[in-house]
Amino acid sequence: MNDLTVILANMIAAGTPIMYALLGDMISQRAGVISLSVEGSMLVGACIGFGVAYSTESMILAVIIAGIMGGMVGLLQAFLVIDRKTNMMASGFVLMFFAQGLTAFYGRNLLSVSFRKTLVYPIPFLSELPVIGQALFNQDILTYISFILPVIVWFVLFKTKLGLLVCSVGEKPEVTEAYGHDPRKIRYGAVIMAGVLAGIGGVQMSCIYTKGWANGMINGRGFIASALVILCSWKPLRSYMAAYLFGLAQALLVFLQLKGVPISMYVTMMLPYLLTLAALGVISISKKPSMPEKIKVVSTGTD
Amino acid sequence: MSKAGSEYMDKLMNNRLFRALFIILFPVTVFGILLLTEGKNPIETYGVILNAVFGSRYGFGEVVVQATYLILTSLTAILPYRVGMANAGGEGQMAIGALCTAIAGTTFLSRMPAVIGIPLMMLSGMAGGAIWAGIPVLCKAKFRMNETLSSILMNYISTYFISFLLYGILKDPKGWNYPQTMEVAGQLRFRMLFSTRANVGILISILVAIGCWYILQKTKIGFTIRTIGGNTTAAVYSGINVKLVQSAVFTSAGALAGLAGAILIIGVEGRMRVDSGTTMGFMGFLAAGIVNNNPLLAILSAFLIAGLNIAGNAMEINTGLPSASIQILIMLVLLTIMGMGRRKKA
Amino acid sequence: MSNFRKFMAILLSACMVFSFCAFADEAEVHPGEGATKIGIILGGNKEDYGFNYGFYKMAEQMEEELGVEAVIKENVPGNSNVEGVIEELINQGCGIIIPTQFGYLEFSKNVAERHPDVAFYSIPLTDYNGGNFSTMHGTIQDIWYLEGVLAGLYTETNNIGFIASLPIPDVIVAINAFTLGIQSVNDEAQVNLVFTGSWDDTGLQTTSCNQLINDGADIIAPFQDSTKTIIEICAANGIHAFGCNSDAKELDPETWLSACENTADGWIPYMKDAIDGKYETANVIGSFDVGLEDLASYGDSVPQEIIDKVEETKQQINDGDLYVFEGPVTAQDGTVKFEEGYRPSFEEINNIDWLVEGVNGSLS
Repeated sequence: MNDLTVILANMIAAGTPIMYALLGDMISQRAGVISLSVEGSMLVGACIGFGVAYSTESMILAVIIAGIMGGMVGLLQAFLVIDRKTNMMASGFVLMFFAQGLTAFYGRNLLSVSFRKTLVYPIPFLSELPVIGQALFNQDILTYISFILPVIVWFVLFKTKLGLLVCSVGEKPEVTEAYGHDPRKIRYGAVIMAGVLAGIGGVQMSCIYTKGWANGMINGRGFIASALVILCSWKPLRSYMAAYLFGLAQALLVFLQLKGVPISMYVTMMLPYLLTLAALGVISISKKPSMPEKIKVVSTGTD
Repeated sequence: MSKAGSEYMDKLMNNRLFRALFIILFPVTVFGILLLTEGKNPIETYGVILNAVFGSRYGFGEVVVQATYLILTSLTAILPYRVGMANAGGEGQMAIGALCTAIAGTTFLSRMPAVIGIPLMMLSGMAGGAIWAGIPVLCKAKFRMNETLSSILMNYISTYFISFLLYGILKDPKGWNYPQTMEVAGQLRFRMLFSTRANVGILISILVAIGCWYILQKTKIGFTIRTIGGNTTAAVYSGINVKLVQSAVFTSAGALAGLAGAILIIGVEGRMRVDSGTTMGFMGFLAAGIVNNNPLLAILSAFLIAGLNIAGNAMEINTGLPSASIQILIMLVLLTIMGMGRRKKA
Repeated sequence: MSNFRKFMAILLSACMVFSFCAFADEAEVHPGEGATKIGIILGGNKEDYGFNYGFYKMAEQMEEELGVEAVIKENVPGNSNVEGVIEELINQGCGIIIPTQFGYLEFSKNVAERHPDVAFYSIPLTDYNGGNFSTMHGTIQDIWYLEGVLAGLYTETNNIGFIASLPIPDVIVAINAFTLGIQSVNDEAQVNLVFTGSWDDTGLQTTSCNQLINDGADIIAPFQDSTKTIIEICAANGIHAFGCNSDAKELDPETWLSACENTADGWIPYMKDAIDGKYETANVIGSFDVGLEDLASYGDSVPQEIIDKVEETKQQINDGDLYVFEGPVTAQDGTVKFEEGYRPSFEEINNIDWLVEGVNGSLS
C-alpha cells in the first residue's frame, strides 16, 4: 500500500470507535443530556464484547451483548441525570471511572487470551480501486456500518417523527408534552441509545482494531468523542469530519515521526488535540453553533 | 408502581435519615459482596480501611494532603458553573500551575527567603493556572469557541507541553537524566506539621473555599454572579457585562487550580515531575459534582474523596486485590451520593 | 507568643531526643531483619505483559525462595503520593520495600530515613544509596544488544520497527543498544523509531504497528508497559515481535522472538541476608552478570544457529570481551560520542540523550 492508503486506513481504523461513541452521544445531547458516560459504555462494550467473542467465537453475539451492556451504563447515566437530577458531566465522569474499575477487575482473565478471527470482508471490485480501495472497502462489517451511520442518524433525527421528538425534548420539552409524549421516556431512550452505540464502538475497538482487551484501553476516546459532538455543532453529518479528523491526527502522529518530518514529537503527540482545537475555531468563527437549548445550562442548577 | 407506592418512595427518598443510612450502607454492602466473592472478609477489610484513615496520624495526614488539592480543584469546577460555564480543564490548569511554581522556585526565586519566595511562587502558580484557563476564555471571546471542549483539549495539550519541557530544557542536569525539574530550595518549602506531611496548604485551601462562599453569598460581586448563573438573558437585560464576569470567573477558577499546583510543589512534591498531581483535577471535578457546586460542602466532599483514595491504598495492600477494586469502591460511594444526595424536586 | 515559643522549644527538644534515640539504636538496627512481607510498588497494572508483569513474576519467585509474602501495590503514579503508599506498606508489616520507578526515588528515600529498620531496594540509578537504601539497577543495554543481534540475523526485509513510549534513559539506552546489536551482524538493516507518548495506549500502538508493517518491517520491538496489543497485531499480520521487560511468549509462541526480562536471581541473596539480619547497603548495577536482567525464552521460530550466535555474543559480554557502548560510537549527527576503545561508565550510558547513527527517528 502506498503512504496515502495507509494514512487513510489508519485514519478510518482509529476514527471508527470514536464515530460510534460520537453519534451515540450526539443523540443523547440532542435530547438534552451530555453523556460523558460513553467512555464507560465503550470500556464495558470492549471488555464484555471481547469476552463473548472469545468464548463463543461469534462476533454477532459479541456486538449484541456489547451493545446491551453499553446501554446498561447509559441507563445508569439516564437514571442519575433524569430522575435524580445530578450534574450530568459529573455523573458521566463517575460512570467512566466506575466502568474502568469494573472492567479492569472482572476483565482480568481476558488479558491473556486472543481472538484472531479474520473479520475483514473486502467488497469485490470496489476494494480494487486505487488508493482508496484498500483503505475503504477492505474492512469489517462494523466499519462499513460506521460509514453510513451518520446518514442513518441524520435521517432518524431530522426526517422521522421519533427523531423530531428527541430533538424537541432537548429544545422545548413542553412541546413534546403538549403532543402527548412523555419527555422523560424519550430522554431515557436517547441516553440508553448513546450507551448502545458506544458499546458497539468499544467492541469494534477491542475485537477488530486492537485485537485484544487491555485495561483502560479506551484511554479517553469516549471522552473525546463526547467533546467532539460540540465540534460537530450537533449535526450528525459533520461527524465524518470530527471522527476522521481525530483518526487522521493519530495516523499522522505516527506517519510524521516515521517519515522524519522535522517536527518535535511532542507537537505530533498533541496533534489530535491541536487539530480539534483548530477545527473548533474555524467552525465557531464561521457559524453560530446550534446548541440544544437544554444543555446550554450544563449544570441542573445550583442550590 | 401504584401512585401511593410512588408517593411513599418519594417521601422515603426525601427523608434525611433514610438517605444518610442508604448512602453509607449501600456501597458498603455492594462492595462487601464483591469482597466475599473474592474470598475476603469484608469486616476485616473495612477495619483496615478505617484504621488506615483514622487509626494513624500519618494516614490522616495523607488524607489532609490530598484534600488540599481537591478542595481547590473542586472550586475550579464550581465557580464557572455559577456563571453558566463548564470548566473541565482543572487537571491541566493545576499541572501548569505546578510547572510555573517549579520554574519560579528553581530559577529567579531560588535564593529568596521564604517570606518573599513562597508567596511569589504561589502567585506564579496562580498565574500559570489563570493563563491556561485564559486560553479557552480568549478563544470563547474571540472565536465563540465552546469553553468546555477547549478546556478538555487543553488538559491533553498541557500533558505533552509539560513533557516537552521536562524531557528537554527543564530537565535537572544532576537528575540522572530523568524527566524532572531541579529541586526547589529547602527554604522555599512548607514545613510538615505534626510529623505527617500535612502542611499549611490545607489552611489556605479551606480559607479560599470559605472566601469563595462568602463572596458568592454575601457580596455584590456574588450577587452579580448568581444573577448570571440564574438566568443569563435576564442578567444581560439588567445591564451586567455578562461576558466580562464570565471570563473573569473562569480565569480566576484557573488561578485556583494553579494555586493547588503551587501548594503541591511547595508542599510535598518539591519538583515538577511528569506525574505530579495527576488525576487531582478530575477528582476535584467530581468533588464539585456530588455537592451541587456548593463551595462549603466541597470541603467535605474533597475530604471524602481523599479519604477514600488513602483508604483504598490500604485496602489494596491488605487484601491483595487489584487496584481496580479501589476505583470500584470510590465510584460506588460517589454514585450512591449522586443518586441519593439531592432532594427530589417536586 | 511566648507560649508558642515554649511549645516549639518542647517540640524541638522532643525531636532531638527522638533523633538521639535513633542514632543510639543505629548500631543495632538490622534493616529488614525477620521480614515476612515484602512490599513492591508498581507504576502500572501487574497483568500488562510488560515491566509490571515481569515484576509480578519476580515477586512470585521471591515468595517461593524467601518464604515471604509479596504485597504488590499497583498503579502508583511517580509522584509524592507514593510516600503515603510506602508508609502504609510498612504500617501493614512490610520489612522490605521495592520501589520500582524513578518517580518514587526521593519519597522512598524520605521514608527510608524515617524507618531505619526497613530495607529498601530501589531500582533507578541514583546517588541516594546508603544506610538502609540500596540500589539494584538492572542495566538493559546488554540484553537489548543481544536482541539486536537476534533481530539483525533474523530479519529478511532489513527493516525493523521500534515502538517506544517516552524518551526516558532506559528507553534511549534500549534503542541505541538494540541498533548497535543489529549493526554488529547486519550492515543493511535500519531501525525505524516511533514514540507514542504513552505507556499503554493500545490504539496508538496498533496504528504504529500498521504503519511500520506497511513500511516493510518484519520485526517490531516495543518499549511499552503494555505489550500485548503489539504482539497480537504482529501475530495477526504474521510478522515477528519482541516483548519488553517480561516473557510474553505464551501470547504467540510462533511469532515471539524474545525479550529483555528482569530476573529475581540477583535480588534474592541480598534479601535473604537482610532477612537474616545481615543487611548491607548494596549498589548492584549490571545485567545477567549480577542476575538482574536476562534474555527471555526464545520464540519457537528462531533457528538454532541464530540462538547459538546470540548465546556466543552473550558469552563474549560476560567474559568482558565485548562492551556494548565501547567506542567508536557515532551519534545521528555524525559526531563521535565515545572514542575508539573507550568504555563509558553506567552513569554515562544512563545520561545518553542522543541516538546512534542508523536510527530513523528523533528524540526531540
